[in-house]
Amino acid sequence: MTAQAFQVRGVWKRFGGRDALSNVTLSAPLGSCLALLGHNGSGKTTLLRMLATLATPTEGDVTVLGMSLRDDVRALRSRIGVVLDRHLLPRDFPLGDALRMYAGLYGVQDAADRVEELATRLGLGRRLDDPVRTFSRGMGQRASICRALLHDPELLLLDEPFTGLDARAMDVTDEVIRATIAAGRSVVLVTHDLERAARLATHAAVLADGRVVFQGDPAEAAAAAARGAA
Amino acid sequence: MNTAAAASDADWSQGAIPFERPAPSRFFVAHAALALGALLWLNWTIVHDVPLAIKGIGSSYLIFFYHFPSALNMGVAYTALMAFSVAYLRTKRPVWDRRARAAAEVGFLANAVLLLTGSTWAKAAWNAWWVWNDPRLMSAAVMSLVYVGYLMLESAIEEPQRRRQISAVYGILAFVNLPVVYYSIQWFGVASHPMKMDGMSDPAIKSAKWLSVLLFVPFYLLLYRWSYDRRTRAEHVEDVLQRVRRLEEKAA
Amino acid sequence: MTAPSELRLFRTLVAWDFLREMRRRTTLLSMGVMGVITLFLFSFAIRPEDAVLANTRAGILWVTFLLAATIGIDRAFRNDAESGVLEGLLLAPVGRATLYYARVTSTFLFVASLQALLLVLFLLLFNQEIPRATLAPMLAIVAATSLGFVAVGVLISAMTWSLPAGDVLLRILLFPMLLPVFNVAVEATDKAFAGRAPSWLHVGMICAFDLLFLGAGHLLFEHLVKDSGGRT
Repeated sequence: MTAQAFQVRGVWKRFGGRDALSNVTLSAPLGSCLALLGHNGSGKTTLLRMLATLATPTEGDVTVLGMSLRDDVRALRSRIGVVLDRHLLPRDFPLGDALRMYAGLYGVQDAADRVEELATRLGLGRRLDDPVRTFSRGMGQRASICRALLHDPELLLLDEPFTGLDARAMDVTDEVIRATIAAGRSVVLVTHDLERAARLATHAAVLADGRVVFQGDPAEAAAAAARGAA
Repeated sequence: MNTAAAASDADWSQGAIPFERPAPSRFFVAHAALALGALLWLNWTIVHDVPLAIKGIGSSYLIFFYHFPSALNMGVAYTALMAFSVAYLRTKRPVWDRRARAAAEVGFLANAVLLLTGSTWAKAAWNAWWVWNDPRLMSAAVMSLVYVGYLMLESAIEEPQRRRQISAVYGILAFVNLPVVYYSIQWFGVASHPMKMDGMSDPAIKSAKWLSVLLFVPFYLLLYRWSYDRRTRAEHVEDVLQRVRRLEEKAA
Repeated sequence: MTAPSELRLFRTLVAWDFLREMRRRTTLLSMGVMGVITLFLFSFAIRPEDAVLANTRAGILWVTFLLAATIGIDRAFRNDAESGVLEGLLLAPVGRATLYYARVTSTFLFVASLQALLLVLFLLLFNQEIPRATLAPMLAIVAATSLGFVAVGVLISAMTWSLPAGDVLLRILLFPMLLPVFNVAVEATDKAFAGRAPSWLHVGMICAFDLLFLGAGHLLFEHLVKDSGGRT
């Protein structure tokens, strides 16, 4: 059995009287890029938040990077990087300060250099001194990716990372995801963008109404999801 | 206390999905009859076994036999609420949350009875329904305000798992606060509460006092049971619906 | 990459809160304005004559403190929750107790500095003075009581920030919890105004309250931020 980036077995999540996830069983090997596809409200984000240690399953087992969510997840948190729908950066701080403070929480060495390097890579090198509140949606998204990569995580969890990005920024983000996988890291990518998912992902799963309805090759998954959407 | 405890609730700590049935409400009528009988016995005792008036405060002291048991039962219920909350946080099993909430309702009712009887007695003894400088009355009032907050959490938080967690933490905090409530008001208020009264040392009164505590227990237990069963049934219906859906899911 | 020590994390978090507040000052400002408004309410509600004030000054001061501090306590998580920073912190490998103590510390610093200001304002507006001999004990009482307010407040704030009408619920849950220590603080302050030092019983009671709830927070805080839901 190959080592798994994460493993979800028989997971239910009950949320406000309905099941956000129903009997989800899903896994992805280390070094893979899994695309999670599905409509709004299909449970993709809930699953991602669970992998990010922000939510606990009502029932079932979740193991991320070989560590169970039932155990002390603190060590796990330093090994995963997460991009959510909001950028999670303090709005009144200059980007550089905000990122350096997060770097401090993760114990990143040479934080200033690391921040500079990542920001440049994501095309934000000249905006390090500008307050985050002046950023457009797309810039916030890229800043968020910088934050998630600060501590060079072994597993990168991305919730709709392409929202609000222009074509060039999308390509930059593509690059980052490819480089992450090339470096032997794993990625989970929640997205609506079927075409991009088919190009980037090595594995795919489609969720509908909190259930896994398809699991396998990304190209087929994109086709399956497209059929479902039609 | 209850066989439902053994048939564990499905929580995320459980891999399988055991099926929890609500505790069968057997002997509920008998229990109710017992509670009623005990209260009748208490009244009979008061009418027949103790002096109907004592020096100084006259017959108003008789309310003491309803006042004192409420205080003790309130203490027991609030302590149980704390213990159940700790058990919930340790096990994450919803059954402890239901017990905690039932204990809270019993505790709050006893607290209300305590305040009402105390206030009635104050009217008779001091000719005022409410006095602000009586430390015990004030402590009991503050406690009731703290626990009203606990009861309000139930309707304030929709998401059940989150509600259980927050309620349990609040239940523990409220209990941690009780000694502070008690001593701060005891030490820094004006002491005027009638703790020792002439004539209360009468052996008949003393034995009736402890009998009154005993005779109130079935009543408060009945209330606890009613409150617990009501919640169990409500959650059970919800649970069955969920489980049927899940079983269908697994079969498919 | 080495994991930073808890103390280092604690310092980073407190510095973070402090710098954020220095950039916007919304919390400090609203607390200050609320305090001033409360003082004016009292000046209209009671006749601020010396005879009346001799009995009520400690109470006026503490109601003002409480109402102003509650705003800071309510914002303890709401600010971060609204901008999403709270989720960022929860994602980081920071001990939950460290997160609690850091938030208590920063909130306490805001509340205490604000109270110092309100105290001076109160003395000026109501023409009162604190005898020199009891100034130090009185400040100690104010500081210790505020720490208690914040120790409980941060916990309640973590319970209520995500709820609809959470700010109302915060007050309903928080005020009864604070009543006993409020009572002791008013007593002690009353003595201090009259030139008598507060007894050790007052100080001990307030410190016991602080320790009880800081300990409870240490153990219970993680249960309040676990699975905090957020938006799905």
